[in-house]
Amino acid sequence: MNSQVFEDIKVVELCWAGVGPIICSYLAYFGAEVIKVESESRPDPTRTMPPFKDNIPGINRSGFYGNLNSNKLICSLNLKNSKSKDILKPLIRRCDIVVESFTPGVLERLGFSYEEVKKLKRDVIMLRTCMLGHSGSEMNRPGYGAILSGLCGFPLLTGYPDTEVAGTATSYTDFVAPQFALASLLMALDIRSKTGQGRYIDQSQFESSVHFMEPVILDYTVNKRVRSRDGNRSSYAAPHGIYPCQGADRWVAIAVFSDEEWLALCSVMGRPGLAEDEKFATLDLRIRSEDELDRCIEMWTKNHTAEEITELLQRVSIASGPVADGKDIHKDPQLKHREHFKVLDHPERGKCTFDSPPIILSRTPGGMRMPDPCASQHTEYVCTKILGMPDDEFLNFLSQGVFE
Amino acid sequence: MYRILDLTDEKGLLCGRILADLGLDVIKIEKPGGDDCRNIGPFWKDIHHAEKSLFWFSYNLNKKGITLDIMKRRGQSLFKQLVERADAIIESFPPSYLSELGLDYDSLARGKPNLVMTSITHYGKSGPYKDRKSSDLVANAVGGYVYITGPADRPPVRISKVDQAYCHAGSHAAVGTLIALICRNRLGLGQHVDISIEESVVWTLMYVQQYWDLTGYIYPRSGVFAHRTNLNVRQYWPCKDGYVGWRIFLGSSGGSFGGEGVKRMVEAMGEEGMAQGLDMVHWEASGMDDVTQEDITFWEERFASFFLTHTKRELNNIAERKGIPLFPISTPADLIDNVQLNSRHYWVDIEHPELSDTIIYPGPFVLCDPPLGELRRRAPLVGEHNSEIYEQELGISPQEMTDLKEEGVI
Repeated sequence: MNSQVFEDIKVVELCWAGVGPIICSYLAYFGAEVIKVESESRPDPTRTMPPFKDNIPGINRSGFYGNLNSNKLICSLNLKNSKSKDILKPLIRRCDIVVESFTPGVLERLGFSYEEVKKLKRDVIMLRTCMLGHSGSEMNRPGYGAILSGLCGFPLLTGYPDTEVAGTATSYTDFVAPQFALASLLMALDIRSKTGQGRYIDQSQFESSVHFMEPVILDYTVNKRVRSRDGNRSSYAAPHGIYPCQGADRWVAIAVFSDEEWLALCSVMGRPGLAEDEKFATLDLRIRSEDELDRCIEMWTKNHTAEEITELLQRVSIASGPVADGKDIHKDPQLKHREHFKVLDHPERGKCTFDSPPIILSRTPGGMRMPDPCASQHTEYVCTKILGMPDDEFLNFLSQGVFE
Repeated sequence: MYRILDLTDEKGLLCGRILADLGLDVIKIEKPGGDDCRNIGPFWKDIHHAEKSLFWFSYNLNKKGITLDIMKRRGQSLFKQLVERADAIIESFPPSYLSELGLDYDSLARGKPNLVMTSITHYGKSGPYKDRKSSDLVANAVGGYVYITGPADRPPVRISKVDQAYCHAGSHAAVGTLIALICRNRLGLGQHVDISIEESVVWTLMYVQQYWDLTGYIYPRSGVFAHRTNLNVRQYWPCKDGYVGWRIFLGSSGGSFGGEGVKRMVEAMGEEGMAQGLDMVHWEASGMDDVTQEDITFWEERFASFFLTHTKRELNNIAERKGIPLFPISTPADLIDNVQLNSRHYWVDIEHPELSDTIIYPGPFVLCDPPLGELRRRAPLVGEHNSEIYEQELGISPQEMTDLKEEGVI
């Protein structure tokens, strides 16, 4: 069956950067028509961020922007130009969902509060997503994904006891918050199809994201304990860690959950003495001597490649796998099997890869139909073909700087 | 209201939690005596007990709970009765487990074409790695997240204490389940939703894959620094009583996120006479491509000194006053005290009568008007709703309930 789940759904995207565009690209992947409103003179900042094709910057050359904005139509509108309302209003009138992620207050000042939007489309589902939410004493404080990851506290759980906090250079919560927004949006869509009722959804990405560390929070609210970073250790497995392998910066992940697995590991390592060592006989004992335990494992792993270790351990059913870098994941045969990376031809970047959502539906699989749009690429199409604007009216708007 | 049968373990509990929070009727099905993942801590008052796992509490809030041994024939027949009255099943067994029991999607959908089943597995239901043994740490590793995480001069790490790969997969599973349920309204048919935990991790890499694809560059890890191709820019800073998050960003675009924000920070430092070496810099005029690592490091030393003389609260107040995107790195205590969360009444009290305790939980993950669901009840005790589901709904007699218990079916 070729029909796409959301092929009847129309989305107006008023979003920048991470969470908003990710939410919309997820919907677009499953067939929704997403019209992204972006200003040519003030484009989505991710267009100006690396990686650029061949390291040459350009407004259409960013893979960062590209990966978050596939399958979308773009309409360039300068929202500061008051005439832009005459295009945004009809776009909203015909849509099902409006997603916006500006700093609180911006959309109100432009005249598109929820109350105003509802006047245009009575049953609209309006999702407003921002770092701190659309109410509260600090709501006007601007933020972004990387800083939210810090505010949630994830860096305190990352790294070693004797190092500073750590993180990734990615915006971690930008890949946590969208799923919560999407689940709410989908529920709202479903209810509307049965009742005709629209909905206002106010997502504080902060409030969504801390659910990923809920047990740590409860450990504090109940036990007054503040958990801190502990390398790769686990409270219910040992050995459990990242071990060095042959090659520069090559590592393998190994996780042993039972005493049987521990014995199997000793056997594979060719260390029967370890298997008999009382010091490591149970999980609790292994955790107690974990430094020494890890050194034993390292002595073995550093003489093999990560792939060899994985092969050997998989044969005895021990959880294991190589630490993949940015090149490795492109070569991963399982990801290839899932067609995770879709290749599309982009007008400026040529053939390039896009990530697919990690879900495969058996009947309506979704798909990567179009690469991310170039700046302004569909402005005329959206106005004349989708909104049915006569050519002279379009030219009139053009001359008034509405599309800048 | 959709009914969801939740057969997941720690790999997928969050899926049912999200659906339950949105108002769906989620029934957690555990083996008799309770699921093994009730042994995952932390624990209430550190008492290691199946009814005291804070991990279990977190990700099973709002669900009902019944016990059932689906390996037994009688259990399978009961399960099929439950399926008849359900809309979706979510599960996280190894790929071939349910088909060996005749309870896989194809078998069940034959009798119930509108069934939705969501399967969460480490690598997916098919493919060369589908039977590989894995774990949250391994998933974070093979999915590319470990490589880019942690300080550059130590083995790479994952985020510890809560299994993040499983959270990611569970969250996508909730989205996938809802997509399939909506699709069912259009097509009258259900479908199978196949979630890969590895792929859920790859989804979080943001641009690592494009760095390699477009430039051949293997994106490294950089600890407290944010990394651009030639620069490391610090994003987490020690302060007097912990850490804050902030970074230097140059240029005129982005308002306070760009050079304007740095200028305001320097102004604040100037108010305390600590802006030497910084106050003559034109933060808005240049861009990140116009500066060297030496410039960044020189400036960062000065910002670092300033931060070390202030607490998280003081720096947060300065940031709020001047509109600078600086925020503390919160401990759980900071989260509980967080002014913004409290002004939105985020924290909720949930009763645990068996513990004679009320526990503070994080609140709704979004706010909706009209509301979609609420945080109603604590996670279920083992078999808590057996009577409600088996006796009241399926009409099983008390005598039969006793037999089923004795046979170990429930």
